Amino acid sequence: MAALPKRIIKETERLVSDPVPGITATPSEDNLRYFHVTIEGPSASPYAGGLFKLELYLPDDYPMCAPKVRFLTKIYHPNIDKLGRICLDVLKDNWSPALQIRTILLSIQALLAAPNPDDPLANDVAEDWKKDEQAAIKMAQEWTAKYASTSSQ
Amino acid sequence: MYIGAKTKTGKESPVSAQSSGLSLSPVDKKMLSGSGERATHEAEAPSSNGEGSSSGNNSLDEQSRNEGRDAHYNEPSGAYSSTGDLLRSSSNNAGQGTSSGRRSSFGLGFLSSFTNSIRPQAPNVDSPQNFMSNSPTIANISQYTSGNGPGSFDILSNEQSHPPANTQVQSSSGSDIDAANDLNITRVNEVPEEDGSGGEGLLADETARIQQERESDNSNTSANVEQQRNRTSDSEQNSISRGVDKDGFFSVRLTPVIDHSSSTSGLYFSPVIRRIKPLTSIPIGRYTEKNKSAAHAPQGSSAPIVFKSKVVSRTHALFQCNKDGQWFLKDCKSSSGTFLNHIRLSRASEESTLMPLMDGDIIQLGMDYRGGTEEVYRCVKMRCEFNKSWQRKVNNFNLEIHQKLKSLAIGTSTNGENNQAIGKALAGDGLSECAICLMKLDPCQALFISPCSHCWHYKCIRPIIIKSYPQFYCPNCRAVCDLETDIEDDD
Repeated sequence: MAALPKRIIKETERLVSDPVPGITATPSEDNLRYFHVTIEGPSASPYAGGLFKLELYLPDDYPMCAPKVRFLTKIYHPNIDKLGRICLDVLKDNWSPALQIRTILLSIQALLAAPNPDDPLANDVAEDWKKDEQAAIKMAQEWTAKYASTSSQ
Repeated sequence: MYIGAKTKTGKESPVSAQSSGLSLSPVDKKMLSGSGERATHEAEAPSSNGEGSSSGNNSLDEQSRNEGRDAHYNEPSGAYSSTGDLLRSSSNNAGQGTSSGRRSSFGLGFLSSFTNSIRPQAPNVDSPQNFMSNSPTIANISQYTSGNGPGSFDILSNEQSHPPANTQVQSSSGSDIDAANDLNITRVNEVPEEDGSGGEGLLADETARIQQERESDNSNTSANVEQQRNRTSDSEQNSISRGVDKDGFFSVRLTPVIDHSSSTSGLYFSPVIRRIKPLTSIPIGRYTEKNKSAAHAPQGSSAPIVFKSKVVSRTHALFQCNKDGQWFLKDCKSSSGTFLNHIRLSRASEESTLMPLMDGDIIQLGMDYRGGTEEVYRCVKMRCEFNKSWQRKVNNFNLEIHQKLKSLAIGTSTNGENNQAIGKALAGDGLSECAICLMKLDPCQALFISPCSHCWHYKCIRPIIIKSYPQFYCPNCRAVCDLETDIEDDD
């Protein structure tokens, strides 16, 4: 495997030395392009109190293409599907090499705070969300307690 | 250090002789392997213009002719005015002119024809009769040089219009030099073995002799040569005085000669930097299993210089450096030739004399084989710089301009002195780090500043620029810019 680009080394160092509140990202020991990520649910959201595990992988042509990020913890969210895949523009077409792991994870945290059922990935969740937002939020809270509560991990 | 096959086919085309649309016919294998087949080549009835002929002979001639043209066209613009050039080529010419008079070999006749057409100062040129008379390419050259008349060659001096009748005179003067030149060859060849105190004395002696010889040969242009020589010694002194580094090493940097506008491409390699102690030498050759480590040697080491090309011999040439930091090049019996500024140093499998080198000299190892379509058959063309001349360019100007760029960022981002601190912070973000590689933007780096005033290393932003050129989508602020916008002055 080719040598790790300096940019990735630098980003990793900065994630360690200057961590983002509520977010951790640690590189895997056997593959420095693979990161174990945790994101705390934003306090004013149905996901508050939850700690969500994600995986993040930096492809070979990173930073010219976006990192691949996926939720490992089950989450009830209109823009995140059963497999944990995330519908987020900056992970797709709006990726820019000026973005970093840090900014991407912040975007994901913001997505938790502001679900967007009008551009859904998990259609069933999005429909629930649009039909009865209160019930959907309650469901999200239940799922958070069931799958993402810090005590259960 | 690894000199790899990084070339994108058809894109990175080092400056090549055949830019005028004439394609170089593939170099005959026989020619690469030696000169033993000469007789047969010469006996062959040539095609009308030499193109498409499979004879190594003709293709070589063709190349030389094209080189001659290119160089010739470059002459007025001063592209070939490197001062060492003239002396070298002339000394070369002296040797080769005589050689070609002696044996009807191919490798040298064309060189004299080349020098004939581009070096009007050289009087000891061979006339067409000295060339292989049955070679149409050569015939074309003579037509080209003498037949086209002064109109198309007005930049050349009187030598150009010499009629073939001069042959006798010139070849006789040539044979005088022949003896002298042979002497020189013998003497210079001893130098590497001596490798000691006497060595550089001989080298200097050799250079002086070449120059003297040149001068005496050139009675009609001696003033010119004198001038050239003075300039040479001036510049040599300059480079000598500052060349040595703190460890007492002299250095050389080799960079590939690339010309995307040319259809053929030399071998691409990453720049090579080597350092050696005075009075030592460094071999240049083909990459083999044995010298694998040299291919990965760090920059600034004294490891051999190796190239992954089959037209490079295993021991192709060597660089040598005297105690004053003057570098020399010698062909070590390579089979496909070593060219210094387009002039071949010696015939196949013959050792050349030590040729003094200067900054900016272009060395070519071998010739493209099979048209150079395959990476491993490409010749190596490289530009040389000596004794850290490439680093001397870091100066106050660079630092000042970089500082100004930074303050420019401050100026645009603030309204007054109160905001200076904010401005500095912004400038710190905007012009201290490249958002793509996260490294600092430092003086003497190639930078790109977008119309939206963001700044990156050119190397980092280039893929984004070319992806959608001329539209530019700023990765930092997502502004869409048109890089082909007309440039106008606000009057």
